[in-house]
This record gives sequence, structure tokens and C-alpha cells, in this order.
Amino acid sequence: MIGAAGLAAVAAVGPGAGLAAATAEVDICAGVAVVGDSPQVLCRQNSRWVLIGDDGVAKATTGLAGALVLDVATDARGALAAGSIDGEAALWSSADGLSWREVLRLHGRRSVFTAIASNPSEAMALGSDLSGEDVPQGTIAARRLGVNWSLGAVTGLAATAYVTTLAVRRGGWLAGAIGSQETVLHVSSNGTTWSELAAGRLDDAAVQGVLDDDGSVRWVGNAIGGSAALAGTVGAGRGPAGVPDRSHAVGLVRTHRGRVSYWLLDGRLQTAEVR
Amino acid sequence: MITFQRIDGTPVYYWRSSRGNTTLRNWQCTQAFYDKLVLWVRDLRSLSSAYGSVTYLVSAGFYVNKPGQHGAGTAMDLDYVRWSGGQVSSPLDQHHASSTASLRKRYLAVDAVCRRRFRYALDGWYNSAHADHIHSDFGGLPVLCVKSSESDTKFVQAMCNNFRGSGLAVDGIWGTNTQNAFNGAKSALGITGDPHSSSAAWQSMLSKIATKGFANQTF
Repeated sequence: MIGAAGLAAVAAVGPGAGLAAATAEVDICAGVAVVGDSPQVLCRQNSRWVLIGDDGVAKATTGLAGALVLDVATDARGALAAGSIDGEAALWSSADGLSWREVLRLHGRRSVFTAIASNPSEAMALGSDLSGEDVPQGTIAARRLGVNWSLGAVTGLAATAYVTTLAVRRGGWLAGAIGSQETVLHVSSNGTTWSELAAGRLDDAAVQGVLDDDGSVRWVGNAIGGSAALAGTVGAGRGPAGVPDRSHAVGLVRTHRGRVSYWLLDGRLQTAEVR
Repeated sequence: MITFQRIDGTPVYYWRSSRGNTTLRNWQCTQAFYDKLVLWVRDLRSLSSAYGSVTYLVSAGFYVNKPGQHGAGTAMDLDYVRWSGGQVSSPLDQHHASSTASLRKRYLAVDAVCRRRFRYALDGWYNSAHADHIHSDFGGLPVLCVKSSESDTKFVQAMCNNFRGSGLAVDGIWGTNTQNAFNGAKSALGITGDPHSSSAAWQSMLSKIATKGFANQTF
């Protein structure tokens, strides 16, 4: 892994965000998606969601007020986001990554969507029903075929694990679910029935991004025992991610620069090429 | 987030990949959560002082890059406690379900100490995902005994069964039998005040449960 590079200081633009906020830090990042031609990271800055490109400029978004966004995905129609609002699982879509509209919400259901992905013909989100103590107690799944989203059942994913990453692979889908000591990667050809990927039990790793290049699965994440920044290839080991050890994995995307991982360190975004 | 290897001087190890490993890990959590961990470990030392000092702790994670309290850096998964007197309490080995009554009481004592500082403490009775650790986080504060909470109710039911032979179903439902058993435990421990509305009363009750548990005494 090479090519660690800090993004330029995050500059804020847009309504109500003047130059005074030019060095403001972000507190969490939901994920990274390629919107248009370039990767964009959706982050929360001063309680507002902003979109940050490779130039480090943070642009204010609309439509996500009060939301907890946990993942974003590239979509043929722009971008998708998954999370919750008022403790209810919700999904959003956007043509440009800046203006978002809610497309699904599980009203009256204590739940959260935690991962989202799309291919040219459909989109899918996975998440969890939550207990009164806010821990996962059942997997939820939503699919978009055509225009509308609908809920469906899935099998093979642990009810008590958070699905933190979802990606498209040749002939189906790839998902990572984090338990108390490992991430288990699962594959599915139809999005409904899931099974463990061979060698896909990643001990002591909380995975936040995966890419499947014709069966070679790269991942990024953090150690569970100590949270060190990690990057690896399923079946071929792991190592330092090429960013400071305290960095928190945000996601992994394929760009014109190759495979690029995104990380959050002390409120600043970092990137590293993943070979 | 801050980085730490010890809580108030007590080392914290990670055994999920290699049991017995004493390599120090660089854990992360928020400053506020670490401050609460310091109070928690001081409670633990004080209430279990007959065992000597707390030699080390073993955790399955504090900040973990996933949704929820772990992702916010405001949670702890506790696997194991070792005292200088040689005693251990091992959620990792599912001591809540041990055939040895003293180990179950000791587990409940550690559980009670967690509940003095953290409202959502999820233990081996809560669900299978927590059979091998005690999870504690910042959710639901302040600390109270909440009848509608599955976690709190299962703890009370398990506590009454193990210390008073109440024979309750540990189902998380606060019914008449649980209420009667709770009233009996509260009276036996000499608790004044209402643990459902007073944090001080609930913390006092938890301290007395812990003291009895570490001493392997019924009440």
C-alpha cells in the first residue's frame, strides 16, 4: 500500500458556511462514492452533512438534516445514502451528492440501514432491527428494482452483526458483517441468500470497505483489538494501510487513480492507494 | 478520540486472536468515556479489594469501526479480569453459565460494577452475542433500574436467582414474580430509596450486590 496523502484542509462553502470555517474538522464520515467522475466523501461537520471532493472543499448538502448517515454508494442516477433518522432506518438518493431526498423510511421501527450498493440494474441496502439497547437483533434488506424500493427477507447473515460494507461483484453481491471479534465476508448471487466467502473470516478486523476485482477481494478497516489501520486481500494477508495507525477507515473506491482508500484522522481525511 | 494502553494504570490486553497474549494494544475511545472507565476500574478495585489489586483486564474492543456506541468510541467489551490474589472473572469463558456458583456470583459482581457507571450493560443473559463478554456503553444514561429494559430485567432476574434462589425465568419481562424477588433483594440489602427513579439508590444496591458477589455470599 503506498501513496498516503492528506487531503487539503477541508474548506467549507455553501449556505451559511464562510471562509472562517475553512479549517473546520469533520467528526464522522459516512463513506465514499464516485459521483460524476470523481470520488466524494459524505461527512458530518458541525452537525451538518457536507460533501468533500479530492480538492478538500466541503460543500453543504440539503435533505439530510437530522440524519445519521452510515454509508454512501455510487449509483447510475447519482448517489445513494443509508442510515437512520429519529431512530428509524432510512435511505436517500441524490443526483449530484448535494441535494438529497428520502426514498425509504421504516416508520415506527427501531432500525438502521448500515450499508448500500448498486449495480446498473438494481440497488440494495442492508441493515439491522435494533433492540431497546440499540444492538442488532435482525437483518433488514431493501431492494430497488426499477424506481421503487421494497423490503425483503434475507438469509445467511448473522442477526446480531452489523453489515458495514456492501459491494457489487461479478454475478452478485459482497457484504461484510462485523461481530464481536471479526468481520465475516458473505457473497450472494441474488441478494437474498447469503453464504460465507471462502477465507472470508477476517479475525480482529472491522472492515469498512471492500472491492472485488474478478475474485481478488481487497479490504480496508481497523483492528478490533486496538483499532490499527489495516488493508488486506482475502486469502493473501494484511498489513498497515499506509496511513497513520490511528486513522479510521471510511471506504474504498475504484477511481481513475486506481483503488483508493479513504481514512479519517483527527477530523481530517487521508487517502492511500491500495494495490 | 484518545489512545490508551492502560485504564488508570491497569493494563488492558486482547486475547481474541491469542489467549494469554500480554502485548499492549493501542485502544481508542473518547476522553469522556475514558474518564468513566477510570471511575469504573476504581469501583472495581474498591469493591473487590479482598482479592488484592486488579492485575490486568482483557477487552474485546473499545472504539471499533462499526455503527453504534463502539463506533462512537463510547463502549467497552470486557472479556476477563485478573486479580493479584489469583482470582479471575471470565466472561470470555461464559462464567455467567458456569456450574460453579461462586464464579456466577463473581460474574454478577463484575456485571454490577459495570452497571454502576454504564446504563446499557449487556451480559451473557442478554443474548447469545454477549455470551462471551460484558458490553458497557454510554447509551440510556443516567444509570437506573428500568423495568422496561430487557438488559436490566434479565440482570435482576439472574441476580435474584443466584443470590436468593428465586427460581425466576430469565426472560427480560418484569412481572409480578420479578417484582416480588426484587423487593426481597432490596430489603435484604437494606436499600432505601427507589432504584427505578434514583441513580444513587440503584448504585448503592449494585455496590452491595458486587460486595456479596466478590465475597461469594448469598443474601
